[in-house]
Amino acid sequence: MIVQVLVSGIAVGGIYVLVAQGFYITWRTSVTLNFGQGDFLMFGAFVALSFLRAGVPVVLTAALVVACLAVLGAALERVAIRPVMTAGHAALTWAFTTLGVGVIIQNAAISIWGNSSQNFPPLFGGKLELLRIGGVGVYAAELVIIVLSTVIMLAYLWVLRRTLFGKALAAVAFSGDTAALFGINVRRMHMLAYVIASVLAGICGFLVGPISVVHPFIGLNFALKGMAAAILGGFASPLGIWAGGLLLGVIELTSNLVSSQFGDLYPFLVIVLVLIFRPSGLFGGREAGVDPAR
Amino acid sequence: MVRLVRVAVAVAVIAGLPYVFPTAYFTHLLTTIAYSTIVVLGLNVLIGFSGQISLGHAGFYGVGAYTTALLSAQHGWSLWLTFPAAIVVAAAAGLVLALPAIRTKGLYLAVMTIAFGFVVEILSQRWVEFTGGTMGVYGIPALSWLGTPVGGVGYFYVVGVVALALQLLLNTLVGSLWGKTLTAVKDSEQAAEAVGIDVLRWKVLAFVVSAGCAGLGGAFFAHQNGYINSDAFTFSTSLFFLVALIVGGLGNRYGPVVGVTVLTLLNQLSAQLYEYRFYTLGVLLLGVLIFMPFGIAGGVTALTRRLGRRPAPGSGPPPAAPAVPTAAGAARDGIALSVRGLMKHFGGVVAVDGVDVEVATGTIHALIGPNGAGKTTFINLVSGRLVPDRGHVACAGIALDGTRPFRRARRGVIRTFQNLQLFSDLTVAENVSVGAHRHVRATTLEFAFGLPRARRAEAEARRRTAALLAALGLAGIADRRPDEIAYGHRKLVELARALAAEPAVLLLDEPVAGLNATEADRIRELLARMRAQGVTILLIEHNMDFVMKISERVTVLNFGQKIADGTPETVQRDPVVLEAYLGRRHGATAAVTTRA
Repeated sequence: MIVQVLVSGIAVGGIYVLVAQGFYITWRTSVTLNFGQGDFLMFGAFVALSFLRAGVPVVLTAALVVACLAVLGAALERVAIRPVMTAGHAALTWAFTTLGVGVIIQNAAISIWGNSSQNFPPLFGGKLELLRIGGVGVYAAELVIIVLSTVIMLAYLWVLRRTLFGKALAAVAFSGDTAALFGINVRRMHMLAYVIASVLAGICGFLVGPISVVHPFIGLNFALKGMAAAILGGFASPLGIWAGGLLLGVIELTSNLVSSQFGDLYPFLVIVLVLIFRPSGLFGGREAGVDPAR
Repeated sequence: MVRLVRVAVAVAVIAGLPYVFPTAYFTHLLTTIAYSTIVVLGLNVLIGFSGQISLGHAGFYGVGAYTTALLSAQHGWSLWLTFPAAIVVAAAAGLVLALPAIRTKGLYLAVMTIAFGFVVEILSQRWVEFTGGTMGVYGIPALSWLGTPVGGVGYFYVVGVVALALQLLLNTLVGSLWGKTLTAVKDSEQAAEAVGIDVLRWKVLAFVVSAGCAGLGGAFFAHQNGYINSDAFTFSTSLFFLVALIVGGLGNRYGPVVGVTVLTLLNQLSAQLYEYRFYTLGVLLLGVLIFMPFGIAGGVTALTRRLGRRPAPGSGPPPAAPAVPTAAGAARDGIALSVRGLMKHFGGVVAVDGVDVEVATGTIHALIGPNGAGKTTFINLVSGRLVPDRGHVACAGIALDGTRPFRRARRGVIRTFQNLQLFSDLTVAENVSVGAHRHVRATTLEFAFGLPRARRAEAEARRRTAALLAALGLAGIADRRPDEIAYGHRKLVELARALAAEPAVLLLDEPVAGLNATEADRIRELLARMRAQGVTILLIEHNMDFVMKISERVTVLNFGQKIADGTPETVQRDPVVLEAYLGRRHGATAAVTTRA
């Protein structure tokens, strides 16, 4: 039972981690983030659902979801971020505009796919197929999520730490003006960060589809949990956020065991407590230019 | 008088509105607009004036609604008690949320408020024994007067008049020194603290006022239909309030009523166009923010201002400088500012290394040194913006160690900033009046109702501001905003703001950097006059000509250490100082003359 909860928690936590990385990467590069990130996740889930129902193979569907969300991310930066970062706009205007785009996407989803809950076709054996590993029953879909989210996280870390692009992002995060002097196209970096964030959200949508129902309003919940994961990690390092997200998933599943009536409440309690007592996150450490509390 | 006529017109409009379309449906709609306006008025205080964010206002609205609903329907309380209770409980919720949230601003505050809204939503849905969940609370009594229910139109009148009264109160508040103080907190917390404003307290206050308004709006909502359930307190309700405010005009007095009216009517009109109904909120939010960031009311204000704009008055010759007001009865002898063993390091760099400085009362004391010597850090330590690793700071014998910047400012230690920190949304005159904050004793309620003490504070600040603007030759630009005036003028405005506080000790970080010779001379005369009136001045400056002419005493810092301290003449000839400025080889022969 405990192992079962742990596995489910880590699977759900893996989703939160990817959503949180999306928050982190744009926050770090442009000190803005997408308050509609959850709606992007929902949109990814619906796009995947449509392609799968049309008989498109799983791998091709994944590629199409990534492409769709990449375009959406670039459009978001162009429409909701860039125009309001100029003088004459109040400080947190980007929060409102991204929220607005999220609402538009939510409404688009309602008019395209309707207002009701829908289920994914069984992809990797479905929610109910149990695998026996060392005497412990584990859902195949959860295992797939764990494996895929880990692979994606490793690839993401590799991009951030080892590629020239990752270093350019870090330079922009440290000082956009200085980075521009060294020939880095800062605007493009902002846009690419949004593309990555949005693709991560889309992948999450594709991953949660098989273990959850899909409806136009699932976004907010995931966005908030992703935010909680980022806060647990202190918004400071991708690794801290990784740990924070997995921890949050496990806390959530465990708290559901204790009381299912208010199960959803505990993650918020975690946010509030962390913000009160450890505003820099559970794992200390802080990078230059990254301080969401200021 | 004009004001009285306006209020009479507003009352007449409220009285007449239900008869435009005398149907129950239209009256219901009007009532909805009225209590939503109450909520959004409060939201405007928070977002528009204090610059904080709430994405969970439906939470406070819900708290207010459940408070009055449960107390009246299940405990039989009189509505005379449940309405105040709704306000108080919601305001208390605001306080509880604000206290931890306030240390974090920006993003984290936004997240806290979303989380709060979500918590209220979950509790109202799932805590069925208490809130009735989706089944809701039934039988909430309607408002009645002398035993008879007031009816639909009567209820609208009550809500409408309350909304009007709140609008008037808030108009008075935001137009007063109180509102300017809140805007100052929004524009620059650092500068606000530097004139003695308790920034945390003001931010919490804005939260509490805002939550109380939302609670009142929620209470009116609860008694409108006699029934509430959890569906009314979701994230989309928070979004509605937010979009209404933004569409109407963030930070505009009439933004709330305009936005709520437009949005409510739009929702009703587009209800027929079912397919498109959903798009309105998102598209409006995005469109308004990008194309008209000040909303509808803001656009109208800008338009009327442009139409009615008179040519700006020419600056003309400055009037004869009147006496600059200063703290009366400042002690003329002794040590005004005493710093002992002050030490601060950043990582491995020791920025200020065990510095002792004593500034005699009524003198001008200069702190000089090459770039990176630790001068600004020293000012930041004295003003309380940075916490020293070791050492003591005392003003007129009273220890300031461990106190926040605003407390030091209230003691009379007032500073200016090297990179100017003016309040960008306030005019020059308002910037200076806020400087007098440490002398204001009136409370929020006194300002809201325009009581004598508030009026006196207002008049006193005006008088002091006028005198200062005249003395610094700024009277011609009193109504401009900081981004509309030249750099030299901005610098003078910041000095005027500091002087409005009637400092005992004035800390000036490069008062003449970037100014031309005439402006620098004007500042020199002004500072000399301040000194003559007993003000103690500690200044950092690179302009050696200025420093040597004006100061009684000069302290030289290099790499965080005090390397010399004495009269301008002795310091100028000190070989150690020459070496620090000019290097070893030249130090022996050259002398420090102008601009190091």
